[in-house]
Amino acid sequence: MIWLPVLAFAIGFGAVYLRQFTVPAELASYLSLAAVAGVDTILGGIRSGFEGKFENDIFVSGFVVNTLMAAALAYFGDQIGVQDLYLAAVVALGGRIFLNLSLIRRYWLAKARTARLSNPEA
Amino acid sequence: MSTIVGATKAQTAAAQKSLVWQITLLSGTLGVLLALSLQTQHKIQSQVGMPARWAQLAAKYRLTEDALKKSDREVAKLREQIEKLEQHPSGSSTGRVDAMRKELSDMRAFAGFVPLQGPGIEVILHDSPHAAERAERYAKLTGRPVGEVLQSLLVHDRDVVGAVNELFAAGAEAIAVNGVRLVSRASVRCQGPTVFINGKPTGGAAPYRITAIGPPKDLEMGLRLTGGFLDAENLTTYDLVTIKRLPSVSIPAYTGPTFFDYAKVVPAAKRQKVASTTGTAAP
Repeated sequence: MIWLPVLAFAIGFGAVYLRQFTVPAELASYLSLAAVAGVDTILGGIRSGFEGKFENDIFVSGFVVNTLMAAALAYFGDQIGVQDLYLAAVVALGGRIFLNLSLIRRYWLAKARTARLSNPEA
Repeated sequence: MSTIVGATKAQTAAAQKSLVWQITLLSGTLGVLLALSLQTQHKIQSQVGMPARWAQLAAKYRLTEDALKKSDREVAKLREQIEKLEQHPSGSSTGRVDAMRKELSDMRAFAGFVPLQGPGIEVILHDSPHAAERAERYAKLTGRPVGEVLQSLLVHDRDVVGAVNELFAAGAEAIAVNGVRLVSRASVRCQGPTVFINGKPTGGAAPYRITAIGPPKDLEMGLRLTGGFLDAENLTTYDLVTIKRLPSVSIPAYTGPTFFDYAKVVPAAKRQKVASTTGTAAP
């Protein structure tokens, strides 16, 4: 089951990377921030799956809104002369990414442990 | 919400399945986003030859430089205006005011606030022609290391300072280096290949153009004096200098700051005392 998202990621990445699509330079930083927000949402989805709190609509809307909002926030900061607003988004998203990663690691370890306990021969 | 107590196994499996599909879909989108971002950053780096942050800095630097130039022009314009206002006062003027105005204008000329014109010379300091080959030849002849010989074939800030000093000593009344006026607070120094006059960069690498107003013949003689700076430092021997007498030289006005942060004017009452203390100390 885990290979499906990985495969999709590889296909999406490869298709764009090999065709060398780009966006205008002015939008580059907003795009980067949107990508970081995307990473955060995906990790959040995986975590909620482990926790069993997964909800369809929250996940998909989260991805769309988070990426757009992150880019919009950076753009807004640039417009009103607070370029560091970009940093605020990076720090917030980075913090969440690490939090989600550590939680995923815990759930995964716990799962592996219970599997071993319930199946002593392995 | 498969954690709700009593949820069936089928429900859990369905939720799990939809989770995987959605993560798959969004992973694909994320891959697109990341690849796009990566390619864009690559493109920016290859176009500008530096990371995007540096390019932004460079743009900022250029903006600041432009702003500085603009305010320099404004200062020059305002000074011109002051001068005009002083020359055309609204009220009637008595002989005393005229005399004061004359003195002020003389002082301004002396301090370097107005452009000057007059006979003089142009001195161009440049690196010795074919410096590299010459350095090798001289090094063989004299047995000195090539690098050391080469240094004496290139123009340095101290050469500019030395030439300016000789010109003042020979009676130059106004001097500019690369079109920047030398005044009482002037400094000449090198930073890499650029000569800074009064802390401002003037043009790029050598040649440096020194213009001076004064008796053209005396100025040239003073520069070429045997045992003088150019002679002692071998600037003439190594063809580092070109001197041209000119019937008319234009020297621009000084455009730098005109205020003192530390020095205070000694009040008139105290001046006598200062003079007498130095006077008694002299003998």
